[in-house]
Amino acid sequence: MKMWGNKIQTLITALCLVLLSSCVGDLTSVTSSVTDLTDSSNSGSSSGRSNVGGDNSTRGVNPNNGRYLKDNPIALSGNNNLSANENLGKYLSRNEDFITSNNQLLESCSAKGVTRTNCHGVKSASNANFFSPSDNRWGFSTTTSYFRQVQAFGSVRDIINKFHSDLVFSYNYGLSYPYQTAHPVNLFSSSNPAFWFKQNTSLGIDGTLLTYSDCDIDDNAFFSPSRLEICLGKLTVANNLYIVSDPTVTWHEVGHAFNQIMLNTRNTASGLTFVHDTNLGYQFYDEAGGIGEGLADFFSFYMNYRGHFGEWALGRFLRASRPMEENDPLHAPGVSESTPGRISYPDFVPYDPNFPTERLEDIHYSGQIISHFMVALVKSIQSNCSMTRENATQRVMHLLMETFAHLGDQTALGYDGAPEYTINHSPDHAHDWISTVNPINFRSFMQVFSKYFKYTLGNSSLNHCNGGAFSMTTYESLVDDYGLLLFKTYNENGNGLVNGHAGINTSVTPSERVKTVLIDKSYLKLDSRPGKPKAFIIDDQEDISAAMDSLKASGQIASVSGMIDPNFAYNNGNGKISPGEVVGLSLSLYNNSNSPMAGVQVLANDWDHTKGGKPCNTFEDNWPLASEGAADLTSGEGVEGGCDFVTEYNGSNTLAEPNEELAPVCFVEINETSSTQWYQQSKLLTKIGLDSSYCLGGSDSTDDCFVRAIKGADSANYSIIDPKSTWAETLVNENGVPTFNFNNVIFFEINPWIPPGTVFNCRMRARFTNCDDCFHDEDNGNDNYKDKEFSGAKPFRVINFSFTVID
Amino acid sequence: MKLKYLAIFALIGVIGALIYYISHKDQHIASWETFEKTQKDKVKHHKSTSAELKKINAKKETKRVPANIKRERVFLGKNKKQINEFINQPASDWKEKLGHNLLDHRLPGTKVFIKEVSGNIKVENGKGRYVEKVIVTTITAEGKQYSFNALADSETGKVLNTWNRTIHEEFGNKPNRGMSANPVY
Repeated sequence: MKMWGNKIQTLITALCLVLLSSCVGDLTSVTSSVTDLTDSSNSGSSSGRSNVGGDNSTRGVNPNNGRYLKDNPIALSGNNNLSANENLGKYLSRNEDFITSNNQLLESCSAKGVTRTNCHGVKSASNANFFSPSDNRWGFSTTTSYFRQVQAFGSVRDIINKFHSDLVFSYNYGLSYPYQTAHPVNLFSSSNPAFWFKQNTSLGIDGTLLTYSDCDIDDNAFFSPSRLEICLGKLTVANNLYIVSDPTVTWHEVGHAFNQIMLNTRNTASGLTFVHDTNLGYQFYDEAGGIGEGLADFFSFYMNYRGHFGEWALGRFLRASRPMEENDPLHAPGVSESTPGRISYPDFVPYDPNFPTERLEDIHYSGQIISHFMVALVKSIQSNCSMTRENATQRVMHLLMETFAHLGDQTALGYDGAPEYTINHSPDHAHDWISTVNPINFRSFMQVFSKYFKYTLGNSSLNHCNGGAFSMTTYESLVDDYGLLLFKTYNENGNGLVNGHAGINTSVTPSERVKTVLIDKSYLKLDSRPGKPKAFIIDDQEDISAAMDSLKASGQIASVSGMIDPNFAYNNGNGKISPGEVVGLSLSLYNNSNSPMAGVQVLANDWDHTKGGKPCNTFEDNWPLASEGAADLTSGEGVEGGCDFVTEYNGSNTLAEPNEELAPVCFVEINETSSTQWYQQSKLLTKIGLDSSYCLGGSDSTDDCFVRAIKGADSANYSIIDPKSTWAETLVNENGVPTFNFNNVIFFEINPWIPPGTVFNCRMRARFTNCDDCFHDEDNGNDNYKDKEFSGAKPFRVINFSFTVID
Repeated sequence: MKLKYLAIFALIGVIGALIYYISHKDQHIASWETFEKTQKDKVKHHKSTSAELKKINAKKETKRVPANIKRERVFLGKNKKQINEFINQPASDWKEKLGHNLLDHRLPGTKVFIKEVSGNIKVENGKGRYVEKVIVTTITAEGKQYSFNALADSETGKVLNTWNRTIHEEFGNKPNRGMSANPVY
């Protein structure tokens, strides 16, 4: 008994000790001291361009130091066939690198004497803690997570430092020379620094950009602007192959973060709290997204001056790397740095150099046009201005910073001290303009970028190009080589209501537009060829359910009407439009010209096309007839409220414009006793005696009671349409049929209470980027349309689509 | 002897309670909340656990705003002025309503995580609307993760706007979002 008692006592004591030790483990501080005693980085091999002659173990470096790769292993080794199991330690430099004197991979950043604490940091992944090495020595074997974190930290830190240095240069330049800089004067305000993400400690917003080096995602990386995180995942092709080992990809991701910062500098510096930040790209495919990807690629060139991105993480194992110069061996035959050989718009919009015979609608491929242009411009500045590569790159970055500060401005001023709103309509509607109504595309980007080029390097009063000015003829010629001379003037006078057509507005030399083709919008129309579809309908339950799930998941759409069954039970997949369905509509737009159209956009958002609740028939579509319910034109014209008057406040100022309104795109046909008339949908509500609470948007929204485009999915984008073709005939898969992605479709909600047999007509607007009269007001010297015009019909092709709702 | 065993068992009890407290003390991270759509189209709701936050790579909270401090709402946009009329009133359960709204028309197995950012006032046609800025992270039924900012009505939880969506690279096989379409003649 005593023996068993002693044994039990011993067992309990041991148990207590075990429990206590695990308890102590939970109670340790958030950081743990790490020492890597291994020295696997030094293989003794003599191959490779740089060897670590020293010891990259923790004890082998001095305090605050370590080592990390300055480029990807392919570039460092010169071996395009590097094995996935290669010892990356061979490509670390012999000299140690300063990592940080902090005890964590978390540091401040400074620009122009202003410091942002906790600017950026690195962890391995998930909810991990920051780690602290022994004696602050950051040397680790390249096979460890600790090394990967140091690698990420070094790569991110290097590009942030360079970016901030160049932002200071750009800011100083803009404030020093007599041109309208877009930089806000308080860009480097200590109380509200706009050179980094916003910080508000009272709200718990730390504004820290965190990079995860060992993120738990496969063959993927991402930047989250909502959570300020960069996630660098793992490649599945081999074990222990991490994307972070390719710094060009890290720089690409940080490039997305920089795009976000640059677009919002004026918004942040204004001190106002806007509803949203400005983003670059709002759909699965749109041109703003393509520009963003091209610029993110360019941020790799920005760091290593190499015209290729992702050779190791993407190219070696996934055949997905991307060149940025036409003389890259990856390019298809025929691509060259000559005028006809440039990666030009729009022909190269769907081009993937890894699979050159395929045509793919993807922002990463269309973005190559921008990345190639940017690199070519650096080279051109080098040669024409006798600048070093570094200085030329800095100048190009300066132009980009100015361009984005202007284009993303939700104060709508465009520059400090502007006498009126010159861009993005007005603060109340800036986000709608940027996201849908007049979004950033290849044309607007190049026009604003070129304006700043003209203000600076092309300015003969400044003579900043080797003692003179960069020839604007030479510049326009280069832009045209890329098919990007899509603008007829530099639009120095902006898009404002009062001065939008006044003051200086320099024209582009027409003879320089050789390769770029501008097409009249009249050549875009609904396909009317015999035997050809005029549209495509998607109403399969599984497809619609998956689409709505994905669009809500990604945040592209906010909600679906409560009148729609939660499981889309009414979706019957019969290719018709039936009550209770959500349907995807893709208009079959036909390019009747002899040149490709690109950046085609169809809008189904509310616009200014009614008067007194009746449809105006004063547009090119001549719909409807006066006898069919068109608005009365015998009085009230030429003033606000008239069909010939475009709202100056996008229909939102009931004091200044009590008779102006925006109306939904879809009207309903109602048979009256003597005729058939077209009405806004509220009329049908009355006719069938339905309570307004059954409207798709509730009682307050009766004009789109029965058929409504889902906000966020109320526009469609098509990357390219070949001559004499539709999009569906242009981009077909290997089976010869088109693949409709979400951006190719406008999603409509169809109220279950619609009487079968009811006819609707939806009057939508369409345009494309290389369109002449979609952007150039020939009544005002081909100046840009004023922003207000985009509430109306002038910049668009009006497209009508009628359908009958069947049971 | 009996006293000895009683003391040991008491010690074990104390240690056990201590361990439970330590392992659970940060299990509910106050600012993140989880909403999950079940197979029966119901919505479950709870404070986000450490394990869930680890899955969505959520940052570990380093500072919490004291609950007893009244939030000052910031006006959104240019029109910061005295507003005398409001079109809604803040509801205490706005976040729960938001979670339900986010999961409407979503597939079973979907999870959304909501984190408050700030309370604001949006001016619409001269009237004020109480709104909430949040960060939403979604894990789809297939396990894909997305994040974005959203503006929600403080009374109904209805999502008014979304922005700052995640930019995915998807280097490998790009997901096929192709939909089958029927031609209309």
